[in-house]
Amino acid sequence: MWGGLLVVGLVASITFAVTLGPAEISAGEVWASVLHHLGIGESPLSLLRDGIVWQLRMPRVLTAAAVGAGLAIAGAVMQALTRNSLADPYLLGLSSGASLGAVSVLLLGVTILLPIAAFGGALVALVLTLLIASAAGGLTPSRTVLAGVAVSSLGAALTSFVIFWTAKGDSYREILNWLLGSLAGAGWSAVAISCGAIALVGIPIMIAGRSLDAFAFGDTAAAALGISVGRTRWTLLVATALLTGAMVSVSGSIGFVGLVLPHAVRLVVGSRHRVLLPLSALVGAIFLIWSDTLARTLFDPREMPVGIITAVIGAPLFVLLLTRKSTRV
Amino acid sequence: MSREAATAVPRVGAGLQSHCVSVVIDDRTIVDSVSIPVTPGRLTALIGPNGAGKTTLIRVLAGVTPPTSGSVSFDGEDWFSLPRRHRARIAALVEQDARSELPMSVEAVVALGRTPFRTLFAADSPDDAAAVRSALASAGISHFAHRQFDSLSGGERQRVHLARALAQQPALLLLDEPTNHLDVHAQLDTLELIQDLSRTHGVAVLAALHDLNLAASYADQLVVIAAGRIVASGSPDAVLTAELLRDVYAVEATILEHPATGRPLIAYSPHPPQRGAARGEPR
Repeated sequence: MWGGLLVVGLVASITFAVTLGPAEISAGEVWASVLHHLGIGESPLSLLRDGIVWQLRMPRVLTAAAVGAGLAIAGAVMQALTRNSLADPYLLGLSSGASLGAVSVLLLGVTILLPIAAFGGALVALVLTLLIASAAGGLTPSRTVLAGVAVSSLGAALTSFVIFWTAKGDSYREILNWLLGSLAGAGWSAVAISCGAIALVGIPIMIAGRSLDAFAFGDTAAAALGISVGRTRWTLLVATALLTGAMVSVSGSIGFVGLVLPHAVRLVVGSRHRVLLPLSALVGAIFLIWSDTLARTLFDPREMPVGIITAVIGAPLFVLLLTRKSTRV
Repeated sequence: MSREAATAVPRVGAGLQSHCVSVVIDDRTIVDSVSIPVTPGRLTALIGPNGAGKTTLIRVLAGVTPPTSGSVSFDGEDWFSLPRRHRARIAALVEQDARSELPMSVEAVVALGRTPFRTLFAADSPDDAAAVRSALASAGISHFAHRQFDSLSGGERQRVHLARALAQQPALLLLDEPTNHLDVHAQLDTLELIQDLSRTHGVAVLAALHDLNLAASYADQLVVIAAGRIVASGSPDAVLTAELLRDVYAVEATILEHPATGRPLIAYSPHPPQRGAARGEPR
């Protein structure tokens, strides 16, 4: 029931988000343009208006949907794996590694390499986290999380140093956009990266993640239910990191989507992952579409980094969920 | 698959048997050369002081952690060479006071017991739903199937975990202090449910118990371990003696006969045992 409603909600959100902006475009025109580009019928829109739909708004809205879905899936999986409701997709130092890679590239002025540098930075951070955790005496969840905290701090320090040393004038705005998370300028290549990551990594995670149910009462309980605890944990952890890395590479590190939304969905539908993961993905997609729409229209013609919007909505929501939970228990 | 059909009739297999099982963790021997049978249709109570190695031994028997040395067999087959999922279709484990941070309904917790029977791609089968329903009914908790697990009392939670284990339709049930933190009524309830499983369904049950009087009342057989080793085993009558309690627990006690059941009933003497003992001197 929820699934059907949310799919309708997602299609409607994509359509209406594309109509919003400085140039007025109707929902019918959006679909006409989409069908035209899919090879069905003629576009009734002028070249300029068609460009606004197909070259500017549609790729940005689709990227927002894919990034939101990916972050929500990654957050839900991290929370289950670490049995910690405070876990988010950036827990293992991924966002700070990606930021370091991205900021370095921005300052060197080779923006074309940005997604690659961000993804590479995220992977380096992940590997570093896992190495530290295993050197510290074994890859337990809590040690892994602590190693992630250390790597995050180190990455943040290095990023600040790079900015402090080399940034000047205009690059600050671009860097800030990136650190807070922004979908400005997302084109079809960003759609390809983010939707590709959903198809190649996100969907397999949603299937493999069904075995996460068994982790609810800890590793021993999961093992006693026939789960290969170690293999499942590391496969999902690495896959989640890849998914997050891909999302960060197109959008920067957008906060709160992966933290708050899975949490909220869990409270409504419970912790069965075969339901929880797809629904979190849909809610994440819709949430980020509308956050990004606000980010680009609220102070038109100025754009805000979408991370500000997700934090402004996400933080109070998070507090609400926490207080709700403590009164219930 | 035949295993599921077989749950209603008493089992005739040899059950689980450990042979000289030892577990060494960080150079410390936690379980030391333990050979123990867990027999179908019988309730075996594992007793012993804190830190004796009961939990570790139960994890080995449940097929969760392999022993450092020694072997375990089930119906003659090497227990740890069976696939993990296969072991989970045979043995169910109820841990001590298991809790979760995640919001879950009682029914969802019980449905976890179907994990070893499901593949990732399969939809929920009617078999699974039926097993969950009958487990809820056997544990007497159908009426709160839709409540949230974390809103339940300790006794109710324990029942849910038992129901989850029942949903696994196990041939072998291992419980780690299932009566911990429960009030007296819930303790008796829990043990009666376990006893019924072993007697009428032929399940081989091993339960670590702290309360010796409960163990004496319900178990068919007692196994006493101390410092990782078996120090006594046999029927409650034979095992529970004043000497054993002094040696293993360092307590003085008189063994009486329960007026209703005829089972051993332990009356502990307070420390120090004699009023005449010298003041300030330890026992």
